[in-house]
Amino acid sequence: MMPAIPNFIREVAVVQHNEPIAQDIYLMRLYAPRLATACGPAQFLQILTDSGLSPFLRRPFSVLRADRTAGWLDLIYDVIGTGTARLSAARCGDSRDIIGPLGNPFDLPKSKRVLLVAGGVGLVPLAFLAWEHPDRLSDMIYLMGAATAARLPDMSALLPPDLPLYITTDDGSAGQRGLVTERIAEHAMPNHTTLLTCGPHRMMARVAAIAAELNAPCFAALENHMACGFGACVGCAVEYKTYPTEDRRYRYVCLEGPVVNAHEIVW
Amino acid sequence: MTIEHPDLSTKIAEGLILRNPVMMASGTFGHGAEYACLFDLGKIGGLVTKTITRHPRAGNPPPRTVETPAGMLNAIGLTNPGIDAFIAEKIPPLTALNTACIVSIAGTSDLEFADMAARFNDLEGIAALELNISSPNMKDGGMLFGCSERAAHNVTRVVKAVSQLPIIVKLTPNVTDIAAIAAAVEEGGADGIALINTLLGMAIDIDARRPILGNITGGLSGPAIKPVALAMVWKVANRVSVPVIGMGGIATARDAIEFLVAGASAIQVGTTTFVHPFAALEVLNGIANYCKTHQIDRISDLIGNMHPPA
Ligand SMILES: Cc1cc2nc3c(=O)[nH]c(=O)nc-3n(C[C@H](O)[C@H](O)[C@H](O)COP(=O)(O)OP(=O)(O)OC[C@H]3O[C@@H](n4cnc5c(N)ncnc54)[C@H](O)[C@@H]3O)c2cc1C
Ligand SMILES: Cc1cc2nc3c(=O)[nH]c(=O)nc-3n(C[C@H](O)[C@H](O)[C@H](O)COP(=O)(O)O)c2cc1C
Repeated sequence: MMPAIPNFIREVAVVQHNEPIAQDIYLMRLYAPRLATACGPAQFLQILTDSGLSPFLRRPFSVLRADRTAGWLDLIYDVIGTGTARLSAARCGDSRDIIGPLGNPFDLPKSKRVLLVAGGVGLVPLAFLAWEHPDRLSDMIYLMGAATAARLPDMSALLPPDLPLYITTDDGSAGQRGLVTERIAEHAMPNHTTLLTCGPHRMMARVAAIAAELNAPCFAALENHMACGFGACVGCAVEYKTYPTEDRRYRYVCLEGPVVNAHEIVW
Repeated sequence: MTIEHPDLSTKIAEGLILRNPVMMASGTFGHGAEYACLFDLGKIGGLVTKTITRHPRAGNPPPRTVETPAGMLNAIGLTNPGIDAFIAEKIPPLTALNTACIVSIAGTSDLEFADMAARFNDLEGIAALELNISSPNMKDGGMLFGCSERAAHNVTRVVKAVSQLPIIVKLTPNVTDIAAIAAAVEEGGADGIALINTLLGMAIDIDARRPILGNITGGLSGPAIKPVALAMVWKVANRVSVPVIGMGGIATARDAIEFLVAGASAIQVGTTTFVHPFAALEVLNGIANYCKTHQIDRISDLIGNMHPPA
């Protein structure tokens, strides 16, 4: 059975802040009191980046953190194309039409050690998870990978202060040199580790493979292309290794994800 | 003087009158009932469920969609649970809805279409069947039927012979003369004609020099296709006497009214729902307001009522 369609809402959000925090990476604060109350880590919003037809479809973004009392929520986005360029042009006071929250949140695993493995703007849902569980920060380790120092935001402003953080960059310009996935083994506690990951597809595939070697549970927040975000277009298909019936071979990132069991899908 | 309550009811097939002309298009609103949480489906005229086939289908490998100027390409590949699971699981919640539910079916042969159609004879709560003879994403059937007058005629006739439900046939725009296909389908006994399905299209990633869609080609939909759809609806409505249901890129009430004026007895909202989930309601309100301000008592007075060019 396909899961139920989420009971999402539409809200016109007002931009309160929209500034670069690294090269081509922006932080946007939106005043959206109804969405701010409803969102969880790895859930996403479908944002109409432009009120005309270009781009035509909404763009999905996850939430970094939300202040339910003040009614705002923060996003971080990487400017890679038309939609994100439109977002970067938004000024304070502008509004954006949003539907959400969509998708299922990350659950914080009960294991003694939770490795949060982030690549680039994949940092967002993992940061939200940490913000949501101040009492469990000592069980978590945040591994952050970026291409280079210029593309690395000041993480201290984005993560809870007590969360252990290890940074790697591909070129060694900040933190340790290398790939974030190379740091997993040294922080994993045999038999007591769960991995949660979000980032470029190939990075997450590597995390899943390492988790399999460690025999550790692993959950990934996928960022596949999608058209609607609420199960109507059945476009954001992800293939499963095993399935009860042919129509369950592909499942939908928007409805059954974006968080998936990384060991169950075809990477 | 303004009209308080225009009569929006419209006949979309022999034996089927909807409370208003706004419907949800097949493949863009799931199996219908699961979206009852979005808005009161009792407000719209009707909905068409996602096309089902005899056997369950996984659908095409991703990527399945790609955005294009003012629209999108899709190559979903008719993913569906198959007719048995559909009847067992999807029909009961569907029949509980307070709107006309039309079931879309696709087969790989005349016989399979007929066998599938016959399964709905004894089921309560289904308003009509829509024969999808127009899917560009089904290699072993689909559009093959919709591209030949003879094949389109035959499949309609064979289904009509066994089915007790009104039969709406959905046409593909990927033909030379859509009015000729429509005429063949009408002669085959169709009670209504729906058009258009998606236009065959393609997109290429020039960096990788690869097609973007996993299936290489797909179907184009959305505002980009509206003028094409409108001309086809106008041509078909002028050719046949059964009701015509128009669709293709409808995003606003203005778009919908163009189709009605061109001769469509009802319209379907498809791709727009992906971007604006509540668009169908806005289209409906816009049509009602238009009727009020233009002193149109009955929507039937608007349908096909186009003045000659200035
Ligand atoms: C659930 C979910 C959560 C997301 N959260 C965030 C987030 O917090 N921050 C963030 O910056 N981004 C996030 N993304 C990705 C974001 O939605 C895309 O980067 C955005 O849609 C790009 O829009 P654009 O119009 O700027 O780019 P486009 O013009 O659409 O694309 C530019 C280029 O990037 C490629 N591309 C676009 N989208 C994707 C994608 N999803 N995967 C791989 N390649 C792609 C295109 O093929 C093209 O080559 C998320 C995606 C999903 C599905
Ligand atoms: C993602 C997607 C899936 C579709 N699936 C079906 C389908 O299963 N059966 C069908 O008859 N039409 C299907 N269609 C076609 C639509 O019902 C409609 O005919 C077409 O998209 C044109 O209308 P629009 O521009 O308003 O979407 C699909 C369209 C899209 C975009």
